[in-house]
Amino acid sequence: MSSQEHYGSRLPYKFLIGVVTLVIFFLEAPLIILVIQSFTAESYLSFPPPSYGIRWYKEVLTSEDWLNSISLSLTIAAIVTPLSLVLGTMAAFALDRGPKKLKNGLQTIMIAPMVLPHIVLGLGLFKMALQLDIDDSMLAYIPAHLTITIPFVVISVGASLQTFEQSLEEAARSLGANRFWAVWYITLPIIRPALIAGGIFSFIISFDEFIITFFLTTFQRTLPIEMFSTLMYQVKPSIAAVSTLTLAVTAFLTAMLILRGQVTSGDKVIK
Amino acid sequence: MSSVELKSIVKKYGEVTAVASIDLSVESGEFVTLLGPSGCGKTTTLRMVAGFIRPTSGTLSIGDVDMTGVPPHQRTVGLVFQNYALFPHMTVRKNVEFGLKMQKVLTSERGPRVQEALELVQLEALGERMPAELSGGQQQRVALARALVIRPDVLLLDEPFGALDKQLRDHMRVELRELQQKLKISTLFVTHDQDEALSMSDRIVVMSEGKVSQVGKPTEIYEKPQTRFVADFIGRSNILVGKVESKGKTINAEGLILPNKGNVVAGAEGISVMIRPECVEITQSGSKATSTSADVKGKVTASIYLGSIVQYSVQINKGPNLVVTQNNTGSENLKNLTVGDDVDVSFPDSAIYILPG
Amino acid sequence: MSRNSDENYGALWLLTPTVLLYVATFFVPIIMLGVLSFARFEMSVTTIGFYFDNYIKIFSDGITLKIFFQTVRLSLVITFWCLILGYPVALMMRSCSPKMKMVLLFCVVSPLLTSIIVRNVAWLLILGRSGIINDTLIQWGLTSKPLPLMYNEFGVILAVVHVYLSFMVLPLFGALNSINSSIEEAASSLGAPSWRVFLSITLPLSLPGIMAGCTLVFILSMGVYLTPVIMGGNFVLTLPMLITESVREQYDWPFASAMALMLLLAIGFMVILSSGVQKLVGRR
Ligand SMILES: Nc1ncnc2c1ncn2[C@@H]1O[C@H](COP(=O)(O)OP(=O)(O)OP(=O)(O)O)[C@@H](O)[C@H]1O
Ligand SMILES: [Mg+2]
Repeated sequence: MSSQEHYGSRLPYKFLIGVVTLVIFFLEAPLIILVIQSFTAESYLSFPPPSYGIRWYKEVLTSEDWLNSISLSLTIAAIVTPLSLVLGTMAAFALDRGPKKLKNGLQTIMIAPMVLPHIVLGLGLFKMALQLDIDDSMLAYIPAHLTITIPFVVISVGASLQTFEQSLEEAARSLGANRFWAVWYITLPIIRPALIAGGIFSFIISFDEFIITFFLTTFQRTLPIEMFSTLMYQVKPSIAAVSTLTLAVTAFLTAMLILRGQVTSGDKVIK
Repeated sequence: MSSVELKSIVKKYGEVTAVASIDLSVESGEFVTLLGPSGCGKTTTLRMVAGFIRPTSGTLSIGDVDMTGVPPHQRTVGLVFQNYALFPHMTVRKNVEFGLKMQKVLTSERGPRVQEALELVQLEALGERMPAELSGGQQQRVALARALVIRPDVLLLDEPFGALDKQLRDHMRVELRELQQKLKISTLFVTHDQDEALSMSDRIVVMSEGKVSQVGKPTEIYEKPQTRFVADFIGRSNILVGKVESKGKTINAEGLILPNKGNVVAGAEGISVMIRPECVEITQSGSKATSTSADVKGKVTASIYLGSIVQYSVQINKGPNLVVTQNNTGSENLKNLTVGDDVDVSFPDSAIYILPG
Repeated sequence: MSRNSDENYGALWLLTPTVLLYVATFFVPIIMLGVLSFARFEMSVTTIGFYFDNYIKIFSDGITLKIFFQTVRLSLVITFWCLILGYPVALMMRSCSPKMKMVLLFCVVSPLLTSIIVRNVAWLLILGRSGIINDTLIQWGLTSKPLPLMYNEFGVILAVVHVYLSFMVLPLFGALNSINSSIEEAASSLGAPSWRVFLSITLPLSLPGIMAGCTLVFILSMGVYLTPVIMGGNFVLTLPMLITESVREQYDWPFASAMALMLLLAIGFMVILSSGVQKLVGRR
């Protein structure tokens, strides 16, 4: 913090600002351009668009293919999110409250799917689904998505449990609440920001997931898969419109996460 | 009837023995304090009474019912934590109401009982505040009200004033004691602060290394310590090793010859002699013409001004170095004492206590 | 603080549903891939057994190994650029005002949460044959033919760096943030110029973050499928593309499994290497 003044007056700091500005431009400009292009009124993409309109949004929101894939993706995410929260939170509690000597080992197992490349995970899941004859169905997508979302809940909730003052739960228990009610009335409300973060992560990850679902589907199409196949065929403004729609949803959720301070610290629970 | 009774309670964590066989009882309406240095097992004992820790062996009963394996929520104990442990997401009123809700008290009954509890701790005006909006003392009172509202068989407090400043701590001490006597609630109080223990308790249980060192009224604990540990731990004291000489008439304590008032048998060796610093009298040599019974002479080697008292180190001629305290009465005599002064030291009967055993 | 209750093995029951799930979706599938990688695939028939056919094929068919090394090389290049671009951002985040930090954090975290495909589409619209850059260049008469900005390694690297830069910045920021700035202040108060302070103090102390970020980005890049397909067409082949193709087109599970295992092996090697380096540095 205090190094700010000390760097402030120096040339290298100005250079740093220049580089960072360029990097941020590199990160954000493509997305901004994409959003602008999605509002073109023409039948082709160009920048800046000669005229503006919401023609392509109308097309997307009336096209059966797009709507089907959007609703499939939303349905999957809507089922995955609460399940992932419940299972991930249970696991985080087990790690926090269980024997300390097992904690590190178990935690590694709980977040293992995160370090496995999704291509390998997808391949394995596809084999499993074929074996059980559940490919191209919810029965395959839901467990698959849970496997990649649960680690995020475990991490987010786990971080918050670590700073949670357990005497609060004990106070509740001494007042007549059993373990479950103590957690329900005291712990969960207090770690709510972490639960929200875990939920948002789960939703976005499931909604955006491509490669694993790509393996598991044959006829059904989630939104990312529909976008991919459209893209392989032709780049039309409708793809920019769809992209902007997903971008809007995720940007909104991300902003919520950051404003609640949950990305940097899962610990500022008690204000 | 005793409210809480512990019989040969032991708690081990693997190799570590946190509590090594404790017997303890809190009678109905009694205020008992567990006093001891850090790590002696006070918190462990209290948490076993609350039910958070299961004893390795021994039995524990609350209200004459065996509670050894009963989980915390099925015991009616009121617990107050050092950090208060107020629920940060609930108002003061909701905090206090929580226990009633958990015990399925009717909604219509809860309101008046919460009100009553808040009045008890004089917080009826702050019911709608959040805990974060309260001062430390107020938070402490909410914690007390929350513990009391469920009308517990016993109130358990673990260093409840540890986080308060000195003034507030002294104030809360009086308040808690008054409340306890008004409600006649059996109380088990944990502290490592002897002033707190001495001023509040009906009985004090001094603990050391997981064992009970002595149980007694505050006066007994202070004036008649039964072990070297208690004598050392409570108050400032000089403890000297002595042997009986002159056919049982005197005791030679490290060179200091004292009359054998306690009538210790002749020839006894290695006895512990406790000299309370505040009972010893010192005067500047030759200042008092009437000083006929000046038993011994010494020299002041250090002097510490502590406000209400002044503490001196006095090197007795051919004897030990003693800590002596004098009330700061403002007398010139006292003020004139400085390091290097020769003093006459006298020991009234009350100053000398021979530890048993 | 008050955690001195006994070890609570009962709490482990809460793990049961997740463990069961992982067994079905993670452990068993990986084991199946392991078994399959030693199976034999002849005339579209898979025979389970203990054959080294697939591994031999990887090393001898002349193409798979080449693509594997190409994947490694691309991943290393991507990691390098992420580090070069990410470090200044992390440095800046550490020393700027809280408000500015919020803004930077949003810029860094938001890509993490925006779909990869959306970001690839964005680059497509910029780098494509009739993308913004080529359009503009042709309009201004600076070039007559569209420049080949994508369907080559350049496009793939650019787009992947865009996707994974955040994964580099966050660990770097974490490491930089934990450096006590008074050490640097002490050094500069002793008269060290700021570049010396940076090279001799800041950079070495942030090494754990560098290692963590590089390992993460490398692992992710090794497994990336979507971006090379969209940005590279079929001109930039990577191992994940090969895996997908051999399963979805040829149903050659044994060979795909062997390649998947090879990918895991490369990643495992990288993880061990980086933790080894970290230990070595830590001991110094
Ligand atoms: N969960 C545990 N595992 C191992 N040892 C423990 C555990 N809890 C407490 N102990 C040990 O038991 C002993 C008693 O601890 P306890 O907390 O009861 O002390 P205390 O008297 O309350 O001390 P303080 O005044 O510092 O609060 C200590 O030596 C402590 O290290
Ligand atoms: Mg304690």
